[in-house]
Amino acid sequence: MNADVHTLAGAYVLDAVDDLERTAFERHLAECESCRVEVAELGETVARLADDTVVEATPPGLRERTLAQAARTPQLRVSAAGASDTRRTGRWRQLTVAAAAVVLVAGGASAVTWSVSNDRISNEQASSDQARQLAAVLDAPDARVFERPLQPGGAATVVVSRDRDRGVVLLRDLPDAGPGRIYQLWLIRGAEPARSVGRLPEGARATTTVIGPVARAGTFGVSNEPVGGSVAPTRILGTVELS
Amino acid sequence: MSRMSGEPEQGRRLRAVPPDTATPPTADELLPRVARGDEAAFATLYDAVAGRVLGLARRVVRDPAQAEEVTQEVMVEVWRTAGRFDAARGSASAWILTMAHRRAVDRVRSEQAHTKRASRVAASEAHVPYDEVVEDVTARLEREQVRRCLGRLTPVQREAVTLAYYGGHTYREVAEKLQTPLPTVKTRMRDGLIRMRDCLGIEMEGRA
Repeated sequence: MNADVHTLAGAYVLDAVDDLERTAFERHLAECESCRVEVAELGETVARLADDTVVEATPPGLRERTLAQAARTPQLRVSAAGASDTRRTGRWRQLTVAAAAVVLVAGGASAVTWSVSNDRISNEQASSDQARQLAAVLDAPDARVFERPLQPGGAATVVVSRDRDRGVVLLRDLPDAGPGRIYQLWLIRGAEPARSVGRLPEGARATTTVIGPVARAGTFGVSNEPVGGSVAPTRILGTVELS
Repeated sequence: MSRMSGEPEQGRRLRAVPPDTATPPTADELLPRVARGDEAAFATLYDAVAGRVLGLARRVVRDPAQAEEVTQEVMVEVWRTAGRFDAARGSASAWILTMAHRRAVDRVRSEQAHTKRASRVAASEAHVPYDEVVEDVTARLEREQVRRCLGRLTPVQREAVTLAYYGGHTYREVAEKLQTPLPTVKTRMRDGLIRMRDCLGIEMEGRA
């Protein structure tokens, strides 16, 4: 077993990792039987920590709302293997789909910004338009992946499908944007003005987002801007060449 | 309390049932029924676990309204994905609470502005009293066991584990707060949990 990855077992079961670390660790788990036992045991252990919290009296309205919502929520059909579809996947795609698959609750204002949810949802379960868009990019035969560390911290991964005219951006470990500031995403083509393709919510330091159109954009960029965003990037953290 | 005399029953960590009924079905028994679309089983499961889910969510997100939202989301997700529960990989209650914790943590990380987060952290470090009304003997014994086992960790192990679990912090944030190198924090978390596991007597070999 890879000792370095494996030391993440504790942080992993405590949910103290980011999405990409979680994905990397889960890949490691898939290849390591003894690790799965350890993680299962530590997962049970961590769940016991919930015993040391107040057991709340649940308000009656919550029960009604929950049961009603469940009643109109279709249940997931689990395939025999229960595993995600890996037929078409290259290595990067496994990583990216799994990371992106941690995604999926539509997040507020922007139709293309997703916030990270706790559940692993694979593409066949994707229920929203956003989920389909994301799966469409990741599934595209011409999809290509570009990765770059950012200054002064964090990393950006961009998957681009020119055919679909969309890209998927994964950002992680961004430094705190600072009070009253956010991160904004850009596409840049040659000497043309940078085009804003999204903003992260205030306080967000990671995201998975569909951007586009990307057709002839040559560069993706992340910048630090005042809340509300800017018309042109001011403090650029980093750029990713999309070719 | 006259009910104090009994031994805690195995598999009864999830409760919420009047004492005069027969032993209620456990989450492990209910979940396969839920997976087949049994709404009554889901209602029973809700009664059995929602209080703990809500308690955990409140501990992590602090805000009561958000904690209720998390609870609703988690329980609906339990309904939706019950078919994926794999008993070989752990207990139903751990599965549900793991989901609850992840969702609570995600909410903290995605929505909490910096200042709110700072005050929330301070609050989460305060002692949390428990509610006698919904507390039964089994729950109390289990809580005491958890506290006793937490007490056996080294101070750094304990701090790393509780900051991550109850505070919703990443290990990087924990490392910053404790001014400890990242690899050390990772190791302390794992070693601390291994010690907890042994103290709680959790063993999965036969199951996984």
